[in-house]
Amino acid sequence: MTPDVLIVGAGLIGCSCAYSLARRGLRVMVLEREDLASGASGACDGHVCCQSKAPGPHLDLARRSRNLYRALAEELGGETGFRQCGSWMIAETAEELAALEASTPQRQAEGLDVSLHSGSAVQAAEPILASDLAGGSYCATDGQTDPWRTTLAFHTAGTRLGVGFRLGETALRLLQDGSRVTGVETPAGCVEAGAVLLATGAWTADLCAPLGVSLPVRPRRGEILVTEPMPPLLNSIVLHAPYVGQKLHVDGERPATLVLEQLEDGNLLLGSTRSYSGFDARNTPSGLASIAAEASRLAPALADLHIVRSFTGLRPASLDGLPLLGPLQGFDGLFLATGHEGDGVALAPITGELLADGLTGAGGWAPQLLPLRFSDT
Amino acid sequence: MGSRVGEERLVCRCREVSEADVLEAVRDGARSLRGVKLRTRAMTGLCQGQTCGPLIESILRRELGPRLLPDERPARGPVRALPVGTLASALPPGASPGGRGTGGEGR
Repeated sequence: MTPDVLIVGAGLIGCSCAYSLARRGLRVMVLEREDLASGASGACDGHVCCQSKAPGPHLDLARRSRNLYRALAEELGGETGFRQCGSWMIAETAEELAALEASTPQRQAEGLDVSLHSGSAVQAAEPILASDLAGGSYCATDGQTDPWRTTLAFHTAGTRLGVGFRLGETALRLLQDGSRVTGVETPAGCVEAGAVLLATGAWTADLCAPLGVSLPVRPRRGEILVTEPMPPLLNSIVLHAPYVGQKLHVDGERPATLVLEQLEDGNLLLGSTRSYSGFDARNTPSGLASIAAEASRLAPALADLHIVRSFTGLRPASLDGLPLLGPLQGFDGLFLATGHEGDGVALAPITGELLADGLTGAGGWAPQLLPLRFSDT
Repeated sequence: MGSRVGEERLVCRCREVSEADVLEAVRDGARSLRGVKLRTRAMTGLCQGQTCGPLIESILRRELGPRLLPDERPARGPVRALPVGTLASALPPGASPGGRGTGGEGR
């Protein structure tokens, strides 16, 4: 039976889209060359953070997605690991604090429950942090999820709704009839579909290249350290304020900026770096050491913890920090859900909903998220 | 109390994952060590799969035969647990990310 929508990629985004589409009654098939969450979704932190998002469409997406996370486990009938633990954006210097202060009124005006606090208040709330921070902003409604469990929960719920997941089957190329994309060629043969949705993260540009499209999505490498499991050391997720600015420096290597969370199992994740290295997903000694140095300075007690593992994810980076969601202009039957960079976890539920609404005609496409919005400039 | 036998035996002691859990992961579509890790959390404990990894691989080979997918990704550093502060002090002055890798895609 020909699927209404053929999704390529079974990461968190692809599985979320599959679930949202199937819930609306569409026949959905998913092709995945490896396994669930084999790309960036399996190699990332679990921050569901709104206060790190730029006011405007980015913050709006993040808030709607976070609201979906609250009821997601119940809706999917499986654990996601989501916990509304709050977030701290910490400022080390007076300059960082001034920037936080400057951006707070607009974020509050958009309805985000963010508040500014002194360095001593930050340290009182999270005693593991350094005692000499300039201050920080707190958002009680931010949280964290477990990207593996969330992907599995979407997969299980999608399977229950009839989604056909074909794991270990590679999408070799898109099938075309003129400007219409009609399906995907795999080693097992051709799969025709009413529409094709690419949820292939940093690998999406490669699939679009034969169409003559130079998609502005590049792999951006992010490295993360994992400590031994510890008793509870953190109440909230923590981000160092310059983390936000680093993302928008689209060129070159960026210094490591600290992001922290403690997993349900007790391990702490210490991130992260941003660099362009093509599809080279190896960890680097200098990248890992920079993260360790940031962690040791901003949370000195972390210096005594043992690192048990490191990992790297290739995040799909767009040019303006916003994802690419919607039809690929100039083609019929081809849709994209990529370009989330480090926001794929936070934005996964809303991405599925927006793609499903757009594909069923229940909603329109946001112009500021269209894949080729950059072409005019 | 008795020793666990058959499918009840623990294959990953750190995370208390049994052979039955591994077989369930295979039924759910796992065809690689990473697939088992994703679904069961085996190999994510303190030993990082140094003990259980080969055992789980042998179960996968028995169950999947030629359908077993190779795990191309190398083991993730550090091989022995390393204090954060020790690694931080390894940063050479003026160093920037982007040097030769030590291996380690994926969590």
